[in-house]
Amino acid sequence: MITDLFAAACFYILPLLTGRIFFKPIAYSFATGMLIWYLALLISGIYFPGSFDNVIILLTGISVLLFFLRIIRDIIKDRNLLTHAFSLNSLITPSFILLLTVFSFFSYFFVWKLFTPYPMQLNWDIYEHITVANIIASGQTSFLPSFLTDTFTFNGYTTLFHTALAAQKSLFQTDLLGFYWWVEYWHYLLTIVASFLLAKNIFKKTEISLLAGVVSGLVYESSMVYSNLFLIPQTMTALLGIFILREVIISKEDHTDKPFFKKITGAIPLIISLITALFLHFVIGFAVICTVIAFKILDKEIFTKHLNKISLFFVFILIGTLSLQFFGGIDLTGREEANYFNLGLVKIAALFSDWYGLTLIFLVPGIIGILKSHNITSKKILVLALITATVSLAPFAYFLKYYTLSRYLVNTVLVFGIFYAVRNFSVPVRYLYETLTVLVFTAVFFINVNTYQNFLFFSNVISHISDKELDTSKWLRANYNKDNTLIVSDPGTQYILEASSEINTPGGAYMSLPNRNKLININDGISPEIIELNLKEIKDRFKKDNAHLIFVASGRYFAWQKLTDSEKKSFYFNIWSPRVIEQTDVPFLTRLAADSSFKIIYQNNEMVIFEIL
Amino acid sequence: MSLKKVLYLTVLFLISLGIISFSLFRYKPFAYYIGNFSVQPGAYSFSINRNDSSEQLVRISPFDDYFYWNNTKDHPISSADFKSSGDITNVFSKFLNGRLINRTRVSWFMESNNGTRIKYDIENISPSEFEITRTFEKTNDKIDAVGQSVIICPDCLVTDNKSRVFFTTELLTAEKLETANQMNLSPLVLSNNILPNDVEKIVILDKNKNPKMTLSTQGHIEVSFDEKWQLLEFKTWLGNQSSVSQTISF
Repeated sequence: MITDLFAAACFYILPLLTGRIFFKPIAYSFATGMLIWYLALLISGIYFPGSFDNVIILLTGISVLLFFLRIIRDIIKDRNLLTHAFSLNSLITPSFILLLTVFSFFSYFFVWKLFTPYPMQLNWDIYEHITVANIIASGQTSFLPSFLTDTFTFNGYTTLFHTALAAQKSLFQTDLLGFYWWVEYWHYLLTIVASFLLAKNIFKKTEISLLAGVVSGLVYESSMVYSNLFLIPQTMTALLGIFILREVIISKEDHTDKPFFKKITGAIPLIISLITALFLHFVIGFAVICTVIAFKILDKEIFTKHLNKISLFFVFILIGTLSLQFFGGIDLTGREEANYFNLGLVKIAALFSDWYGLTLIFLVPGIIGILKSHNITSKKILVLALITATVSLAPFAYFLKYYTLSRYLVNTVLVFGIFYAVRNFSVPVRYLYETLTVLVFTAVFFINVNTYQNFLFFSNVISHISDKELDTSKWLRANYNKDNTLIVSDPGTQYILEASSEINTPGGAYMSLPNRNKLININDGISPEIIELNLKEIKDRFKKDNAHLIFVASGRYFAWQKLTDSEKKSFYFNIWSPRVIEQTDVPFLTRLAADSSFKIIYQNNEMVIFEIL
Repeated sequence: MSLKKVLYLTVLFLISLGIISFSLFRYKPFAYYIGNFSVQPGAYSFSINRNDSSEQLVRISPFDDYFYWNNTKDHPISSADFKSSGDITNVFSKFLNGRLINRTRVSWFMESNNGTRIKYDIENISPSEFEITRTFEKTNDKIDAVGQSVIICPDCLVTDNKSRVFFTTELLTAEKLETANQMNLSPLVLSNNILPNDVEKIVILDKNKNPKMTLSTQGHIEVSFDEKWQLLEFKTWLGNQSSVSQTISF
């Protein structure tokens, strides 16, 4: 557990140290470090297979060594460095961040993870990323995830994120589920810190910045977006995007006139960081690039003069876009489950009610306050918030994912609205009201988290995965060669077991339709011979000809078989939480066990595993 | 502080309360967890399930219960006749008891358009025992007796403490008699759906002869079994009381 905590911290620290060799700003050094690690591991993996572990040790060694050498050099150069570093003035911001860390610790471990002990998970999406990371850690490499596993049917990103996970797995020889249990806390804390620093750089008021940090921690987009509590490529890209935007805001405050060459070289860290964002997630990375470009365009005098008019224009565009949701959504992807992500106005309103309660009304004083203020940066952020929110709410399937980035900007406007509503009161009254508002957000967060977690309750734990599934995975990993085995079950069981046992499955949760049809054909009425035939006909791109075929009849499998055929054929429906095997399913298992082709190799009350001989 | 400012602050305070209340009222949990069981509220009924499976143990609904008055028998609420249901009466206790504390009791109610309101209290009286109390908060007629109905699992068998298994005439098949024979149970065919008076305990078995639940017949006038709907009805005098209870052991 402690190793995982440390490995999770190193997920951020090691790339930061590597990037720090080249650039000082944290966002740029982290993004550069991520890209260096990725390219080094990708290229070495292609040209020198088997060098993965050595390259990681080399990169870690160089980064740590140079970091300490730099510290020693800086201390020698400036004897007062340590005195300055620990002066009262320089400790103000870190002390507020420490305060937010305490807040984040309580909201994360005592609300979000209260019933989710180590190493259980509340993030369904991580299993596909763990699957890819496990494959990379085992020495395979590719620029796109779909070349490594058929769990990915669509390449929304490169393998940069997965390579970073694999690096920690390899360096600390740890299991990625335990690692993830901790790393999502660090991500949560960083989203809070990002909101705090963004607001601090815009409004220069600690009161607003602290409120921004707290609100960021308490607004959880519990569907499609998942900004603060899930660490997945889209949320990491948005977080990096906000840190990049903050650096851009800071650099704008530097009014010294620089020569052309310096301007060009000064843009290099920004360009590298934007490339990293794009590699992390093509769509959200593109949104980050557009947001940074839009911020720079708004900096031109022709626009800064008319920021209020531009803001009002986008308020109307946002309202117009929302009203288009009345007419239903459009799918641009052609994916089977896209229809379920065309939400319509009523569902969008319901989602935002879950995430924010009615606290979005603070956007009204927020917008008015910013329009009335003389703070140009806040006006630019308002325009960006309106543009990104408009894109997020456009009537196209999956567009709500853009809110992963937009939420930071919208929340900043909202928080300013809370401050603006009580700006004319004395400090104690203002603080009292802001405390009350934090309590309101806390109540909304409690209710939202309860709603999200309620259906995942299983054997006194709230998680998508159970203890017994973890035990089963360990047993499978210990007893079967992962390169020569294929696990077949319902999509949910496959998805969980592939990530935790590292053994291949036909598509995980994204099992192809022909393979699903083979499973659908299996029912109580058919003989074990036909069941065997159907299972053997299930195809997998990565299956070896003589692979052991393992059939997992789990509680999830039987629950999945009880869905309607159209639900079973859809990527959208899964059995999200563990299940025990019901008495009604026992006759099916007894029939299989009596057949000589099916050998029981492992069983508990959640799954019976057969090897097909 | 001026009156204007006080009024303004009051409005802001009320907005905050409004936001919290709005979220609490919208909160509709999928299930309420009591020990190893969960109570899942629905629009027409509620069910009791095990925590670790999707298997429904019993389902209870006013659409299945009966009222008896002046030689008349009818459901307390009939279809398309209700205006609210499926909710827990107190939103604050609903949230606080939903997960944070180890609750032992949940309430579910249904109110019809014609003025009948029934509250169901589901209480975990021991680790594997539930007491379900029906309270008739509003009724139009003077009710003499109540039929407390439970829908049991499909394919389950209704047996008693004397190793008898009950079937009804219209659904009797040779296969069922064979099943009873294999399980060493004496089949008893009910012509009028009413179970004999000497039944003390009803034991529900699944097809593998595993007991799923036990229901006591004590305190009830008669027990009937509608095999088509897998419905067991426990007829109970109401007298001057406004509530009746039944106990189910799992």
